[in-house]
Amino acid sequence: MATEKQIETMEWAGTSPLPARKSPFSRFMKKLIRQRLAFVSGIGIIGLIIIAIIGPSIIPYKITTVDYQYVLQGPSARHWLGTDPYGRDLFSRIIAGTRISLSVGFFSVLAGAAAGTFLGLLAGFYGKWVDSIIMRICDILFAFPGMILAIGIVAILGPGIMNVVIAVSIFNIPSFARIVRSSTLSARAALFVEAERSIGAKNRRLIWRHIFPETISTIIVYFTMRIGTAILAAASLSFLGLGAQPPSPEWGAMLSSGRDYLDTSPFVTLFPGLAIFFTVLVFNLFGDGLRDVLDPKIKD
Amino acid sequence: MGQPLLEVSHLQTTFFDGKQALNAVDDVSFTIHEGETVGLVGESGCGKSVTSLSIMRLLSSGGKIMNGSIHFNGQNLLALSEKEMRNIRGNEIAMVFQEPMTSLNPVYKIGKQIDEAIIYHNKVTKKEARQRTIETLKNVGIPRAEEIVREYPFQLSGGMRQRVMIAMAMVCKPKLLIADEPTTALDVTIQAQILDLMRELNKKNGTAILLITHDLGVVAEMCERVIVMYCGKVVEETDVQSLFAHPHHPYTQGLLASTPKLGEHAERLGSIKGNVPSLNHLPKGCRFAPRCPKAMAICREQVPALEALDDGGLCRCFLYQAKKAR
Amino acid sequence: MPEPLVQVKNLKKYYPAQSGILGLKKVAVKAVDGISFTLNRGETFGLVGESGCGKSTTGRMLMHLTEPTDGQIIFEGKDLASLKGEELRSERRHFQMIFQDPYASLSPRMSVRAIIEEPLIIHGVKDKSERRERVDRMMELVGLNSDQADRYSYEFSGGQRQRIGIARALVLNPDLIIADEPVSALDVSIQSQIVNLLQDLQDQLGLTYLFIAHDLSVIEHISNRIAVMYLGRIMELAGKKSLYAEPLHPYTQALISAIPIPDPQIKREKIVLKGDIPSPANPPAGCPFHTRCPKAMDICRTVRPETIEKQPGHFVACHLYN
Repeated sequence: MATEKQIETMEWAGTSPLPARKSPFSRFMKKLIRQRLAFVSGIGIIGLIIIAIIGPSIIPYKITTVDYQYVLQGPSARHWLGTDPYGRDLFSRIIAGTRISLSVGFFSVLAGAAAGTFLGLLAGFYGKWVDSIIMRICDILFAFPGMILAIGIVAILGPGIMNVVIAVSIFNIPSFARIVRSSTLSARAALFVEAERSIGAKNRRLIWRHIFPETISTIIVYFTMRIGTAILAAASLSFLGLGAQPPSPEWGAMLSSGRDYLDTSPFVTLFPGLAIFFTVLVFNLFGDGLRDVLDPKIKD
Repeated sequence: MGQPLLEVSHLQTTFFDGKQALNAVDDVSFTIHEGETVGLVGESGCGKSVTSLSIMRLLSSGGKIMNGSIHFNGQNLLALSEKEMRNIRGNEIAMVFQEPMTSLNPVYKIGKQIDEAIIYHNKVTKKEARQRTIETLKNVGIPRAEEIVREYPFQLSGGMRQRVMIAMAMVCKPKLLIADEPTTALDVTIQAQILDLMRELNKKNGTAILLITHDLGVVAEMCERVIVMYCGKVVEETDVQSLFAHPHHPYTQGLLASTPKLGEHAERLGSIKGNVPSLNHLPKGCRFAPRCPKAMAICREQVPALEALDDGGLCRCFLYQAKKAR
Repeated sequence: MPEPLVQVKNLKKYYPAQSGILGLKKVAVKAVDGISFTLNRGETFGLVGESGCGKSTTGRMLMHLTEPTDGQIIFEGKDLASLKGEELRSERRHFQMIFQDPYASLSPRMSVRAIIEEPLIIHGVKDKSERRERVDRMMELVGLNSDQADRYSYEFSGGQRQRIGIARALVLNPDLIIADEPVSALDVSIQSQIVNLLQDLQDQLGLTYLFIAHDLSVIEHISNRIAVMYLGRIMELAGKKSLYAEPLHPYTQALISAIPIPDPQIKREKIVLKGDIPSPANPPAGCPFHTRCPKAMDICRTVRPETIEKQPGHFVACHLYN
């Protein structure tokens, strides 16, 4: 008798075939391609990453080669983007600086995002005093303008590119904590999380297996957008002499070294400036597009 | 039976989703006479709400009436300009929705919203309008109507809001009221109040009602005639007595068997196997064939026509057409 | 002789709330206000009432999704209401829940297999092939094709998703299933499939159901005994036949008469109640139903009626019978 019933129930549910399956990645790519600007920016980012990886081995001049015969030369066939006050090839230096800027941007945001996400998850999930303590600390950090905070941190730790990474990552922590906390709050209230709780799942499992995945898309979007800002912040610190030290081909430091020749040789500041501008732009545009693609309200 | 009030014929409403064209309503025809209460029954996605929105010409972007005509009082609604249509909406045809909170503007007081509806369609002063508002609110059984007009929608309970919606719909004494699941979001005791109210308005003002619902109990209590829809098509249309006594279409039979009846102690409920197909995966032939316990070979090949039965009803099923041919 | 599985004694849930100017006055919203009932092994106990009556809160308290303010939930000699931590977690496997919304209650990021497997992992079934086998068996049992186990839940229709939810609830072989409006989000033709499935599973597995719903026709069909709730209290509790044949409480009478019957031949005298359900933040004194009761007397406005056993197994809380 029991088996008969089983067969009957099976037939009920089995009659309508499921639609053909598309992998989540192919759906993501399809939507991303539709976001033209973001797609082009994405290609730009891939280009920057390739330059960062292979750049230093293909550049025409060594970045430390000083040539006093060609000081502050304008762009030419010999030096495509001209030379700096020490006669070093600007093109080579900008290409070589890509790796520094990208890795400073990436690692500082990565560290900030990791710490911020962890704190945001804790604050959002446990609420009560945990939430109060974490969010009040974030409020304090927020009360400082980001740059001033970073300058302060570098002033304490001393100048250097490593300390710039630390400073930028610290000022990224509260913003990540805040956005992760708010997505945690909504995910924690989701019915399927409640269902999971009713099964008897432990808090750690709820957080990492069910709530964290719900916040990932927000984190990725924000991560991409913050990289641009972080690169800019690192360049600014270096420009102020707090970050990368000469002769490092860091873009901000290059801007700084060209500053005295702005009226006679504007290209010394123009080209590193453009590099910063272009890099920040592609990351921000890509982040914007990514937000639209990952927004669950926009369907394919 | 009165004069025909609303005549929908061969209505086809299509939604465009990228490259796909989905016929949410496919060749639907029916007539509502003056003072009549007609039920439009079906499950989610059967096209019952799209039919009502097509009548009101309130389709969201992406939806388009591709074919057919809708005559109201002899006038083809599809040929009217948007301005002429606005004069009909709310004035001659009014609509009540499932969730009253979404159809009331949360930032205006109740009184103001109803006053505006009156002033829009009639040449009256504000004072006269307010008087009529209060009168209508009292007619729909709202206590302390004079105070309610100065309150905001969120201050009212769900049942009260639905009464306000009905008051708003009735304030211009429309000839036709389209009620789309008007009691689905309400509790049973409140549902009884609202149904009572609608029945009374129908008797007193002679307003015809097109009642869209999935609840066969509500249909049995309210309607004189019933139209059953499945996957965008009308599958059966008949008077309420014969629908419940002798349902013809296997889908109607299945629906009735699936509904638990009070006081009837059946061991098991009847059921319809499978799931409602989505509009982009419609089966070939009769749309109900894959779930139909009586499906024949022809049902999987050809689409049956909606044909008259001996008892005056209409049914879209080869079972009866085969019998007649013999 | 029915064997009691769970005894609920004087269960209460008060939520703190503020009222008055500036929210200075502290009041308690009495979502559930002292209810007691017993669930017998193998029966379906229906909990019915309108919105805000506390039926869902009761189910959630049994599941420990909401902590009770007061009262006991006695299961196998232990009071679950007072358990905490690891002990509570291991007791949890005996009670499982089926939710109303088959869309929101399943994670969109997990495959069907992962969803049904989850309780097994949580409760320490380490053997991967055993888990696999149990998930497959469970899917077939609820009428799903186990070949589709690697699909994501959003690829399924509402009815199929509810079957997934049922499979997840059953995979740990629980004693009690708390079904909170399990069919009210589904289409009529799908509702009956799920109701039938729940009945078949009960026959095969000897399950006990606490079936929470607002639809009295569905409740009548599936339940053995029924409790009618209003504003956090049980107004009447009886076996199905006696409740529907001779409802004692005026509220039950009105509720039953308000159900539209899908048969135009049957014309009944309806009791249409006046007014709205009062807010549980500010319930009427005395009997909570007196504001809408057609038979209210003076005593109803001041004195809360005791629950009495009018007939064997038929309990009612109403002054008419005192």
